[in-house]
Amino acid sequence: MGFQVGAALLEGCVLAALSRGDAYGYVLTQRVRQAMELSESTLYPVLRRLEREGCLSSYDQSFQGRNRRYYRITPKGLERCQAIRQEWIQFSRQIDHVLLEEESHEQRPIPG
Amino acid sequence: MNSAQYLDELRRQLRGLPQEEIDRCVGYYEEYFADAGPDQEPEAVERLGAPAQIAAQLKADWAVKSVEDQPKEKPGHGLKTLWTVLLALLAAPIGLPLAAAAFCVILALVLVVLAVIISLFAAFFAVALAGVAVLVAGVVVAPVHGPTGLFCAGAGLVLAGLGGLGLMGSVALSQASVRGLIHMTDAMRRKRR
Repeated sequence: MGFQVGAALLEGCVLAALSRGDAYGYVLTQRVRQAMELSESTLYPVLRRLEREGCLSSYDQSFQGRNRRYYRITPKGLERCQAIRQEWIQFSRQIDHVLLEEESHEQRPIPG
Repeated sequence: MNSAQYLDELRRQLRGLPQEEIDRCVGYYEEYFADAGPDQEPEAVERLGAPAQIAAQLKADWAVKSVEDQPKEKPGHGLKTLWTVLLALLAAPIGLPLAAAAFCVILALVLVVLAVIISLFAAFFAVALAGVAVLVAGVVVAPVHGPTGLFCAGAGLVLAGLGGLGLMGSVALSQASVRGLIHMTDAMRRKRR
């Protein structure tokens, strides 16, 4: 729609999803589906960027004769997730204050 | 397209990235299709972004990281930078005439500076040499006619001294001009980036 979901928000969503538990690609995609669709972005580049920054680690597990790569959040990732959450709360509060404010304080002209 | 075509297109788009990065990325999507299952394949392909988009984002992230990782350029690389700029000007795809013109301007500047430095050195060297010659003349004449000899020797010393000072000044001037040229090309280089 009209609002942009920036890189930081996307990273926050991925980190938040992983803070609930390790996940491999397909499962993780389901967890963050809504955010991805809103942003019209793709998951893998975000995931890779977070991994290179040390916010995630990955490990392989064998499943039905093939490989599954799991992603796990790191302590640095948890910190980053918290920071993004705090920023989002502040950001959305400020927008709400202006955008959702319904009562007008200047309805009546000042009697002169 | 089906998953095999998707992965092929992805591999094609990723060309240019390090092989390890390509393998990681393709591996991710191979697993994704495997986990989605053959039934979900068309929907999965549709829901995933276009391979071109994924590759573009990965390459952009990679380029940013590479720039950040590069160590700062050492200040002693000045001359190398000077040549790199000259060569880059020729190689730049901005139309050969323009590049050649810019190259000639810089070359001309370099040659002018070089010419001035050389002529300064030559001039002061000549003065110093003349001074030594006059000094020697003075010494030779001294036994014949003292005052003349003394005068010549003195004059010779003065000339030699002036020549020597001039040479030292020329050395300093040439160092400063070379540094100036290098700074200029460094600034040009940074601006182009």
